[in-house]
Amino acid sequence: MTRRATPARDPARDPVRNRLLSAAGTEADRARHGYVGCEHLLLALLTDKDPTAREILASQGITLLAARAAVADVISSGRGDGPRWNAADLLATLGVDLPAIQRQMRAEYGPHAIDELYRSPVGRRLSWGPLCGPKMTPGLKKALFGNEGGASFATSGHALLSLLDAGSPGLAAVLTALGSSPELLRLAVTEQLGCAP
Amino acid sequence: MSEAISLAEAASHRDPEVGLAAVAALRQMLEQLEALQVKAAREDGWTWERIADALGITRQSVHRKYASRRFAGRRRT
Repeated sequence: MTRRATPARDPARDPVRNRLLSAAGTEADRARHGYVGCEHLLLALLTDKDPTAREILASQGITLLAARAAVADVISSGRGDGPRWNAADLLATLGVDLPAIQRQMRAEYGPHAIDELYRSPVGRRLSWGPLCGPKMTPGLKKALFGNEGGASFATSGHALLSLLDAGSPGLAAVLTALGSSPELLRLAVTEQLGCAP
Repeated sequence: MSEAISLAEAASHRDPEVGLAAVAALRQMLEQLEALQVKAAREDGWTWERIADALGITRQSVHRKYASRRFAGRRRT
């Protein structure tokens, strides 16, 4: 069996990817984290309707509740793949209300004002900023979109393997906190999927 | 012992990491708000010179920052 399955025409339209990306974003929002990273993809795999990854993780003693706590601890201690605190909370320490500014901006310039700004000539050199919302980490992009030209994931177990391939330090810290490691988990995944480690 | 501390705790202890990160976030947001206003002004037909005056910076600065390459060589747009 190959490690990856059928090639997708357009990785962005792969339903498994989109489902996992959306769930990872939900996990980041839920915890008020300032970025969406590999740590959140691990949580997304634990909530996914395809049980393959969840069962492999359970065999390593990793549950959703424990993983959420480990992710929260790793990120708030500055060992995650992105910023330790989210922009809204940081700006609030200065008395700046980011959600109010975002509401005002949408009311004045429309709901897609930021997307349109970044696509316009004026915004082409503009870096990411708080008005964009949480940023996706390079590790997450690699895990979801970087594998062998964007092959689709046959199961959530294949997505878990791609997540481990991304080499995320934040994910490694989370797995260590959960009494596992990327290496141990990789062995469990490859054994379960019947492919080479 | 966990190294995790909340933002509120860190802010209440005047942790420079929080203060600096907050200022960085504010600067990034101001850049975005400025760009939004520049885009709106250009769509309303404002010249780069008028935008520069309103921002209190030179026309060259606003040009360098926002003008696309096809405008870069022109003296007035």
